[in-house]
Amino acid sequence: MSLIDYVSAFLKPLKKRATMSILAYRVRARNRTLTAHPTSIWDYGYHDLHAIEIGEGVTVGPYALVLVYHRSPLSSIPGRLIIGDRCAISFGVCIRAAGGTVRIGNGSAVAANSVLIAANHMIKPGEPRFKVKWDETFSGIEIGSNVWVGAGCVLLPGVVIGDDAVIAAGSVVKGTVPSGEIWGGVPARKLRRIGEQNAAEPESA
Amino acid sequence: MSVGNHVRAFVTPLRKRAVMSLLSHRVRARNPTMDAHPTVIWDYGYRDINALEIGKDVWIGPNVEILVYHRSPSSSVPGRLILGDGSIIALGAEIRAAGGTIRVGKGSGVGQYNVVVAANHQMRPGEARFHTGWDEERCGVDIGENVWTGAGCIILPGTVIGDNSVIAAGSVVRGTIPPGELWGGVPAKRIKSLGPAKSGE
Repeated sequence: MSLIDYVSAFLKPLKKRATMSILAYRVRARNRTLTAHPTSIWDYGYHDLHAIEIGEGVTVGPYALVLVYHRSPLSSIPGRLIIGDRCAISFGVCIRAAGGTVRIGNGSAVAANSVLIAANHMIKPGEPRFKVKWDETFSGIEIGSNVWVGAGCVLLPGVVIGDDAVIAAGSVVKGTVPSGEIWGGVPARKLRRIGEQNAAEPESA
Repeated sequence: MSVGNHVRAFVTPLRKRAVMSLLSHRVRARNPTMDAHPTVIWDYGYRDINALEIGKDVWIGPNVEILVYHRSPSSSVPGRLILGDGSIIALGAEIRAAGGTIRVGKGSGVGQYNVVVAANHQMRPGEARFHTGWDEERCGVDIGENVWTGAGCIILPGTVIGDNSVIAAGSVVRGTIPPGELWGGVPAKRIKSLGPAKSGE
């Protein structure tokens, strides 16, 4: 090991932290009513700040990762993130708005440790999976307003969730969830409509 | 964008970090045998430190968030956190003791990326879900002694886990789990009994 290796091992994380601070600072300066925890990570191209649209009174919790790659060599679909008014993104949530649009409606909440992915890798035999283009047929995530996504959920590319719906904790969601329904499980299926009593299933957190 | 916005964007995270350090320092000073990683986030009302009861030799891993709101406008049930002697909270767990008591018994371990929540939002049709009171009927989480919850579990409000039980990784737990059993799945179901506890356990 040369001296250079030591210097770069020392400098690299500092440089990365400086970049992180600048990107988070720019988002905060642009969105005055945003409450983003100091440990939340904002990752986007420096010139792509316009691809992040954040409404009034949004909170982003500790250790959340918000990643928006407006352009990517692996997809022709631009990455965008649109968060409505009074949304809450909780602890440890990962939002990857790359290769598709992630849209969250007004007054919705995504609970702790959930993962929202806008585009997937392709599963084709014999190809280096993480070097080839992302799937462009299923891309983007659309969450309506007053939606509650429970803790530890995974929302796969192409998911559409209607207004007032609830996703139970620990679910893996694919496809379309109609409005006003409670869905849960792996993979998520309909549990009941909100207001119906059928308390045999877990709820969100 | 005005100058005010830039100043605020610069100062807000610094102020928040200062508050975080102060709250973390107070918990450490009060519990000298506790081993909490520097990245643990402690979030509680400054005057409510009595709502955190931490036993001897508690270990708390990196990137954990521990939130205790003793009083909250959303619930009349006070938030409390009780960690028993020798209990463990592993990497990336979130413990939300607001609107109910979370108790982790002696020698129990909460696994990586677990989410433990004391009170839920209510689900009534036609209401703005996150701006009404929390559910006060089913609240609080009671984890017994020598319990192990696997990685990625979610422990919902109202859960009671008996002594010596084990929750399999990735489970979603609600309701009451008897002592000495292995439960797992989404939602968690009984898998098997772990046999009688040895004397001295």
